[in-house]
Amino acid sequence: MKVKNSVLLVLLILLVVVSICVTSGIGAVSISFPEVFDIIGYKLGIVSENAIDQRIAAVWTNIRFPRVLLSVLVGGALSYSGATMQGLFRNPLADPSIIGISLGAAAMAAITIVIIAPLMQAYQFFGLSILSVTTFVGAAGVALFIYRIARTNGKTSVSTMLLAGIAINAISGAITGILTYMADESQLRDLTFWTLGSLGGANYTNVIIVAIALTIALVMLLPETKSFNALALGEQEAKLIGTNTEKLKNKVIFTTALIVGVSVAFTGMIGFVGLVIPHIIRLAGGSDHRFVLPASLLGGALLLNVGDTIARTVIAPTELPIGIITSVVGAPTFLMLLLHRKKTLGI
Amino acid sequence: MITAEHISLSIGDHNILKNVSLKADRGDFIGILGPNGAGKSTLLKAISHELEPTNGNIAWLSRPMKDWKNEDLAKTRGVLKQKTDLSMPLINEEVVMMGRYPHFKRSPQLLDYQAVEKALDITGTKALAKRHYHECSGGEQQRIQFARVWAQLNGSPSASPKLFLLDEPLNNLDIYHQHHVLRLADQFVKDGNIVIAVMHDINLAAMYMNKLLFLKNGGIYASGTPDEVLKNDILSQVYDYPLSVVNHPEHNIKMILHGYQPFTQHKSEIKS
Repeated sequence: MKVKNSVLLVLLILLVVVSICVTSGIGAVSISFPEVFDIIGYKLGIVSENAIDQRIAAVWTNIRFPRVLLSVLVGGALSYSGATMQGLFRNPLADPSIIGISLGAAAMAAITIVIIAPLMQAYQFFGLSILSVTTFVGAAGVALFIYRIARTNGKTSVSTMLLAGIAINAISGAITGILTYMADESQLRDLTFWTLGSLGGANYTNVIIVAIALTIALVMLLPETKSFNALALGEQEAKLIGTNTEKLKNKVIFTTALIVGVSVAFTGMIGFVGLVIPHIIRLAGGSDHRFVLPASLLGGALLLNVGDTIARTVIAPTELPIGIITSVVGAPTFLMLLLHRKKTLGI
Repeated sequence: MITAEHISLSIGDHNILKNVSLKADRGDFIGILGPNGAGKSTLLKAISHELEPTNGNIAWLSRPMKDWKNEDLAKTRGVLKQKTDLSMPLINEEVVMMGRYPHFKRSPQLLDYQAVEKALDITGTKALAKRHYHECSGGEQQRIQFARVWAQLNGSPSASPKLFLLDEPLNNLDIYHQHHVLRLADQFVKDGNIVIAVMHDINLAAMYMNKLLFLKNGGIYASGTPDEVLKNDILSQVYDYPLSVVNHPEHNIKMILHGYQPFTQHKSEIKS
């Protein structure tokens, strides 16, 4: 890898660490930088109990830290899966929503909020909300369904997946539309809130589940950077230089279903992270996936962490949905990138 | 080394190849020629293992093609297409490095960097190494792709012969670079390897290649050394156009001259 890219990666890691420390101090109860270190030290058994304020430590441990961690993990997961989708579809405009995952989850959210939830006594399922479980099933189910459709004779057609994604998006949109029409006032509020995303439900259970899913995705796809690069030549040519394109497709579909599924389950729909971050990363350091994949992970983590901090502080004590922040930041950036690309690459 | 026996290939109802056989050993530089739609590129794709023949067997290094895994095949067989587009903006040296992908697992080794360096050097593309692929002209892109496949087939010490397949490799190239590509291929053949190329220019094929295969309507119309197959009647019938074979004034090679024939509605005159 180029030296410049290695430096960029190290810089991104540092930024994410600093960002976690700083943003976990920001909020209604302000916790300073040294205090954050004292609390971490106390948890690790280095700092004595007397040195810290138990009340502040409790706020940090139970409220701030899980939320900051979730934002980092979900941001990383969305951006990472965006980068792998763009590599697989050989299209810089692809993201997980292109194969219907996001809207499929949204349709399940609508079904859950408007139809299932009123029928249920308890709203919990093994410690997770019913909504998390159903939206995960929606996202992962759509991904696997599209994969089935696109598969014939042991081969997966990428263009069939795209077209099936359009159809799924249309069906999901229709289901969500009907249910929105049927919903009462409070259901409508829940639904809107879900569609714009929020990290408000963060707890350590969520954090651990997302962390496990993301680890699986990293272990499966980080060794495939060569294959992603080769795909830039086209599927046929990638095979000619020894790439197992079918194995790569299976891995990308599986990991996307998994990490986007759990992200959507705990935070609702958060747009633009998966689309914009990999773009910015490529502009900064080129299209070599040995750089693009890890850097997208870190960049997404950073963006969602900072974005969520803005979302929960800017109009405190109420919260702004995170989807609004990412769209407000993401959409103009994206338009600028389109203009930039037009100039440099003549597209 | 590479043998294709009685290959037939149909796509849908179209019989694109009919009972075509071809054999090549170390030191063979074979040209596949013929009119548009004769099945030249399809034959090359069958040999490269991109298309599965409907009937017939293809074997490389005595092993049936269908038993080869892409990963292993890529170490000894390289393919250059007419044109290769990139979907992601990459630097030319990154594109050439892709030729080394079959040879390393995760990160390129010293051997791979040396092979890329040598490929850029030998193809005269060193000056383009740091430039974006998208910003290069069609001819420059073709030379970069040639360097990529060259790096794939050269640079790893190996006793096994290599198979280099080219589909109209001279597209977009000026006269100097046409000969440059053919001379590199010629040298590669003399090193004990095999090159098979789909060609349009009969003169260049006659100059460099030791076997020519003329396809028409999916079948072999004529095959043999340039001296054997470059005959007025064979060529005129293959291409449905009057062509004459003459001797090069300076070298001992055959050359083709195009006859002049005004446009007519019916093209039966040559056949009679």
